Amino acid sequence: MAVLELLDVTFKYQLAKETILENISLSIEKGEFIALVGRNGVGKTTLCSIMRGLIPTFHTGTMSGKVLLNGLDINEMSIGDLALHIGFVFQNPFVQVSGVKQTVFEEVAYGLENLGVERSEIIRRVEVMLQQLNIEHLRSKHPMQLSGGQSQRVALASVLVMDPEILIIDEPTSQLDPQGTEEVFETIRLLKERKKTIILVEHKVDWVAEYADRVIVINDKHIVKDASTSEVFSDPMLLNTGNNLPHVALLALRLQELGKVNFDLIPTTLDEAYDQLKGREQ
Amino acid sequence: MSKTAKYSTMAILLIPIGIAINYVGGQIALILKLPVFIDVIGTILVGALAGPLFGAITGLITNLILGITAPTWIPYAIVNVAIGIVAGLCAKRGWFKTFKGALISSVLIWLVTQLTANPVTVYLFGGVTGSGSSFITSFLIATGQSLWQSVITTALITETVDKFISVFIVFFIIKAIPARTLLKFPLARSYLD
Amino acid sequence: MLERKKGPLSKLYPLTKLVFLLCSIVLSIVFDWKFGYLVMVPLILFLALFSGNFIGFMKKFIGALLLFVIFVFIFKIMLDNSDSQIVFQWQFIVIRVQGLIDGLNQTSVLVVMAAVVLLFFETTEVEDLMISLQQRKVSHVVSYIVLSTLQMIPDMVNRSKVIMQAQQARGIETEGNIFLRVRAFFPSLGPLIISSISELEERAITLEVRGFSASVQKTFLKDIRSRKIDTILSIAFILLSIVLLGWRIYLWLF
Repeated sequence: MAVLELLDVTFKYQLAKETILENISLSIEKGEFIALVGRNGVGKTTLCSIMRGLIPTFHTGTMSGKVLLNGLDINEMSIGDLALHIGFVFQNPFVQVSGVKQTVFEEVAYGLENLGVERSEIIRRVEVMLQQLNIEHLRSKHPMQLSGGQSQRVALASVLVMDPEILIIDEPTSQLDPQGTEEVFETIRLLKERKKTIILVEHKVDWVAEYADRVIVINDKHIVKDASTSEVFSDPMLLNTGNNLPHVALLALRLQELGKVNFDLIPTTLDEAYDQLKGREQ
Repeated sequence: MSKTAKYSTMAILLIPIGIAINYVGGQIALILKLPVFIDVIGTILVGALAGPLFGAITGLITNLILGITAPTWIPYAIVNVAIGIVAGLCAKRGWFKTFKGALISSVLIWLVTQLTANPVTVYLFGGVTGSGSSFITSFLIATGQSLWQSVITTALITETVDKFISVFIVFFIIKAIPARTLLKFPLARSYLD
Repeated sequence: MLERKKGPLSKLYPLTKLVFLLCSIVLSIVFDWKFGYLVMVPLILFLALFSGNFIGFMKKFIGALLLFVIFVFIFKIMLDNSDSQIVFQWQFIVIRVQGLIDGLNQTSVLVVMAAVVLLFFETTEVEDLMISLQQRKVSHVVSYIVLSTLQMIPDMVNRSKVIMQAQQARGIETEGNIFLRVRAFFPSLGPLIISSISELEERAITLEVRGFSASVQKTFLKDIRSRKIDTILSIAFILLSIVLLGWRIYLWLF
């Protein structure tokens, strides 16, 4: 059974003139790692809010269709109790602080206090999380006096530590350097190993190509493509929807155009390209 | 159930902002050496956006927190609570949307301030307000007026302009809040059609 | 804004001290100035010796009350038209016993209240107080509002300084005559309020995501516990207050 399912969802924000998303249907299986791509303002963040149950209750408007979490209608559950099932990290890291904690350690622990986790268990889980996201050195710093990259990791840690079954992550690496980005993707990979379901909005397609199972492309209010990562990223049509292709795929396409090399399937990651090319001498 | 949860989280988060605005407004007035207090803007704003209950809580906690370092603020909590309630009730009737309504609201807020603050000043503080205005009061007493007369006259001099300015600051601030944000507060319907 | 508290009183459970605070205020209301000035104030000053910061406490205590007490005595002496014994006389200034007693009666409740509140917060972290209240079933929302305010105030003060400096740099007068200064008020405060409110939405989502309104019994990272001594002290304060109240009522009635 799908863990999260959208059935023909159309939404228009209150006070907006036009709908932002139309006829969105998709089904997400447990343990899948899905990436959402599309140009800025296309409604990726709105789709995240819909899947988190914030629409149409918190962000008001007219919504038709249904969102099912483990087969149950998400809008019949309270926004508060959904925190037990769905984690959500959104774009601006500076506002993602509780505003009541004095240190990063306490900040990361806040969600667990709210979920009623026992004290010793809170300490254990926070320690693991700080280590995993490489923010141990920040533990005594004030959560509002961090750099963009630091607060982005603290925001991610504060949600991951709650261990929800589904994670919606909206551009978690916008403020991070390549090393930080890799750490975040490695963390997501660990989550995937533990059978967590991950939905990620991310512009850095090279990373998405390496890690995600499936890519959903949104353009002009609709899902225009929903397929495996290698299928989506080997199709040059993606360039017409305001997205980039991974560098490896771009290189392969250009080589093929020159007629120098012929690929059975356009590679989207370094490993795939290497596998296809290594057998050919000259 | 989920509907009320949404509203209350936004309204709950508005309270600390309101309290901080009360404090910072008073500080800025002090720095600029203005002859007014302007220390209840936050209470009026929260009352106007989230209703009488939230306005009252903002007023109460403002004075309790100020009381941590200056305990003489604590008894005046009743004044700040009353202001929050009146602001909330006026906003519910849509009075913060129009200039005329704001004028009526400021008269009512001024009135409730007089009705609550003066008894506290007279009964609990023996006529002393702890600010520079005590000099006015002592001057009036020295001229032979009774304590009540002196306290009320002092309050009329210092509070009247203050409350009108405060209400109109809130009136203009609400006009500057984007509609999509206003939507998320309990009294949204008082401002949007 | 919150620094670590020292001294033996800071080791007591916050609610024990809260019980003492409330009992002191109630008793000083029902008794006259002698109880306040001769029993409660000396007792609180004595306890303040164990707060770990006696000098800091005294500075706050005097700072909060000095002006107030002086003015009350001036008012009471001016308003005193009794023919009680004259204590002091110089030109037109006449101080009589009744005026002084009126002054003492008027100030005793507030002096006791100020002293006990200041001592309470000198020896109690606000966060610990909030945790202990939550342990006694007070809503976590109250705790959130108070703790969030304590972070919001210094944050907004800093932001308002930045805005006022920017206004000055753009040529908006923050000094000069009254009209210029009034005009400076609006651009100083307005943007601060609007920006805080526009951040509210994402703050609300952050809280919901962190389980703020999840219908679960909350736990605490900080280990705040009531010990045996706390129970004994609380019961003692309450019993003593009841006895004193009873005695006071007895005196009123007979």
